[in-house]
Amino acid sequence: MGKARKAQGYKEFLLILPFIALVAVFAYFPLYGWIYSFFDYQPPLPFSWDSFVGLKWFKLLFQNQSYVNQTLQVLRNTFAMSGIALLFSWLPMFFAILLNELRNAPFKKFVQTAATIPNFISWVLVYSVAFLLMGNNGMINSVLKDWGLIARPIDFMKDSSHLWLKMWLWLTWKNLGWAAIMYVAAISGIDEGMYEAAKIDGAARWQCIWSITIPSLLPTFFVLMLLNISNMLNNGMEQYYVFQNSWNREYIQVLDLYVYNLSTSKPPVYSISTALSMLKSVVSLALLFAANGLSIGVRRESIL
Amino acid sequence: MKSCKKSKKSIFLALAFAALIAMSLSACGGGASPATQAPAAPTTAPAAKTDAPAPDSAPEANAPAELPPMTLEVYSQPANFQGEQSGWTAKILKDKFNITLSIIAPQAAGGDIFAARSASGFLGDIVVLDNADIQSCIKSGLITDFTAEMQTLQSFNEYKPQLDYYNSSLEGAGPGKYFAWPTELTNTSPVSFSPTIPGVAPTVPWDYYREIGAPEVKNLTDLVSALKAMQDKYPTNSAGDPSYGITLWPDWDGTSIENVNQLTKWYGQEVNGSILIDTKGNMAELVDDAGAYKRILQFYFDANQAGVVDPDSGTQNWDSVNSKFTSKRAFLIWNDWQQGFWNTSTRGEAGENYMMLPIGDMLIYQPSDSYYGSGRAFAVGTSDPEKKERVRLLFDWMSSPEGLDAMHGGIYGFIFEDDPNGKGYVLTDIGEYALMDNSPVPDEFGGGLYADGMMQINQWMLAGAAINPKTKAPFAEEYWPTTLEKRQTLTTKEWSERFGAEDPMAYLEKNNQVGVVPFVNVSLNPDPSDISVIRTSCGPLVCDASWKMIFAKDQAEFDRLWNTLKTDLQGFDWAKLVQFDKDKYKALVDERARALAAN
Repeated sequence: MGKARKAQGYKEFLLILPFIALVAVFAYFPLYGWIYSFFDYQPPLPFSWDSFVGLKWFKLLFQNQSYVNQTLQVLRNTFAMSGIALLFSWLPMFFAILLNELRNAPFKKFVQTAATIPNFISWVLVYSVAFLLMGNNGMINSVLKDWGLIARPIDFMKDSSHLWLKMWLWLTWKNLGWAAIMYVAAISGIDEGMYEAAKIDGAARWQCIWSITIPSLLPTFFVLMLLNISNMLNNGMEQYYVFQNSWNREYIQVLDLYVYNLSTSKPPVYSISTALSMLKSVVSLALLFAANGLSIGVRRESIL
Repeated sequence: MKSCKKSKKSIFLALAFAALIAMSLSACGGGASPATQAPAAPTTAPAAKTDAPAPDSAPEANAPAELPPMTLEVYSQPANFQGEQSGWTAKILKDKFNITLSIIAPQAAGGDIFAARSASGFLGDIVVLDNADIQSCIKSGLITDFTAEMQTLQSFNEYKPQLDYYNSSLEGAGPGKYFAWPTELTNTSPVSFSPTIPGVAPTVPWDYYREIGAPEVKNLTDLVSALKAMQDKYPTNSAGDPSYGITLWPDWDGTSIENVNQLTKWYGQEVNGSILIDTKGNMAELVDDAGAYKRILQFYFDANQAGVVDPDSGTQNWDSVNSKFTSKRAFLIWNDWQQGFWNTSTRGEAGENYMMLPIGDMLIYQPSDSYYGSGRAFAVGTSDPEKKERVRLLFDWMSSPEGLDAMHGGIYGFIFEDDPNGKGYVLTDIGEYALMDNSPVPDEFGGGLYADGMMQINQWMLAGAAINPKTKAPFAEEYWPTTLEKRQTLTTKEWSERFGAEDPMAYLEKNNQVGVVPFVNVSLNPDPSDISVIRTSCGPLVCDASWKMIFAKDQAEFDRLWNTLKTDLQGFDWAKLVQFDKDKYKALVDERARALAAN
């Protein structure tokens, strides 16, 4: 019997082996790259132990006040923009509920498709559209000028006021439909019996939503929110990369973008950007644990 | 039970940890992915049909029969195109040497490709790199010794002094060894400048200038007024699109704004990293209050105050600027090559070409002919003897009059032909517009489009200004006596009458408004990482502040931004960078002095 179980165990292990291999190759092997942050790496010179510098780059990041300020500024932008997104993370759920309440099926499908499509448009194209619409010779300025409302074009692209909010609006336009898919799926999983029972008891539509739909969606919502919290530092860079310019860099440069800008600059500084991205992983991990602790404290449930 | 739960938990944790790291790491490697790119141009079928050579190419027809087909990888820093060389140049190389070139272009694929390929131990069979990279690649063994092969090249003896000069400066090459061939050598002189227009000079549409009354421009303030007058008279181009006195773009910015860097040469200083070097070799920091960098920022600021700067400057990219230049939507241009966007003989005859507009107080910083090379070099990365031999054949052709005629002139018999009056070569009617129109090339020459089929390495072993021993005229078609004659148009005639000189260089020399600086080609060491970090941190500060200054709302804001910049820079050890650059470029300045003394 013990033997049979053992054989079964091996078999199951073999089944998950490909996935372990994938994780090893794509998740653990890249960790080797962290080594660059302890070296003075200058391609094309081959990587050698002679260029070991210890914690030099970390020290530079923490000891020089200007670098500290720069990092703080970047972190401020990162947390601000992720924070706004987090604050509105109920929006996809809300959108899914509204969709669910639509009674006209073709219209419902149309709205959902139309809201999902922007997710598949690349940020580069989004920027091109933004430039054509909002550039100085763009559509909005041309129309305003033709109507005689303005004399000189309004410089939308250079304007850095309310930038975080504007970036959030672009992001929401692009992501809302996509993010709602998870909730649409969760709604379809809710037991119809509950709605029927509620209706027999005389519940109105909004009472159904308030007492059945939302409570059923909350676990999904909390799991996604926890993941979002741990991902706060990973708010991507494509969007900010295409929208950045000399006037808004102070507010738009997020951590990922900063690391990218450093490692693709002329000359590239790989070592220090690796050091920065390492710090990022550590902070992300701390955030994940903090969020999970919060979840245990509030909801008595752990996601880890 | 508890331990089981714990281990489960830790596996999950480990996975979550790994996923996070993968996410964060993938973020910093974002630029390296598009390593392979299919060639954009359709593959040219005629190039493969070597079994039936045209009668006129009979002498070379036996060569490819002996040579097996071979693909050479060319890592070219200056290339703008990545993929397989196609079109008429591909046909020549296939017919003569049975070679296909596969171009790797960091400018198209992203700079990370340099680190990635050099880490793999092989950059390319042929490499074209900046001097500093040539030096590091020799040290790291990515470039092989080419001494024996180099000495057999047919132009070797003529250019031996320049080759000796360059190779002896390379660390790790050893005496008497030849590792690299500097790009764009000339056989003219290290202290003179051959072309008739300077590299960088204020240049405006001649008809517009004439129509605002051809005013005298004594200084930059007058230039702003002149541009304003032009823009008031021509607020749109003929198609009705808005035109501007000046249009700028941020794509090419480095440690400072490239559009400013170029114009500092109007006032005798060149930007090199964090410092300004003048024609006499004096150095000053980039953010010097009396320096040309601030002066040009002030000029752009004044121009913007006068409303003649394109408001999209700073957020547009080079592609949209390109279309503005070709449709006359920007009046002020500065680089000599920018004239190619508009000037033609026909427009010249109508008086519509762009021409230099001299400013009374300018002193043009003009590097001489690239006698010793232009700052990059060709070298060989393969150590396979068969490949090396084929590279030798290719280099021999690329440094020979025959190859240079093809690369600087075009297709003999289609783009250019022998001048009936015996003045060397002359462009055909098609040849005159082939580049601008990207004309189709007949199948007998390889088909495809003319500009697309040009050598995509985008760099030459000998410069266009070098003298062709066959014709005794420069290699490049724009310097041929026949071309210069053709370019004499109503525009140049009226210009000569107005300014009393035959051509722009003659005017500048007559008025002592040009300082020719010997173009020495010394290999400067690459930055150590500490310096790279400072440079990388200061660059965005300088560029962001400069752009904001140009578009500042008043002079007070302009001054405040400048002072803030100077303070902010100090926090990132700017002074250390300036000192480093001064020491680094001292070698260059010393060599210039030596070249001047020797000639």
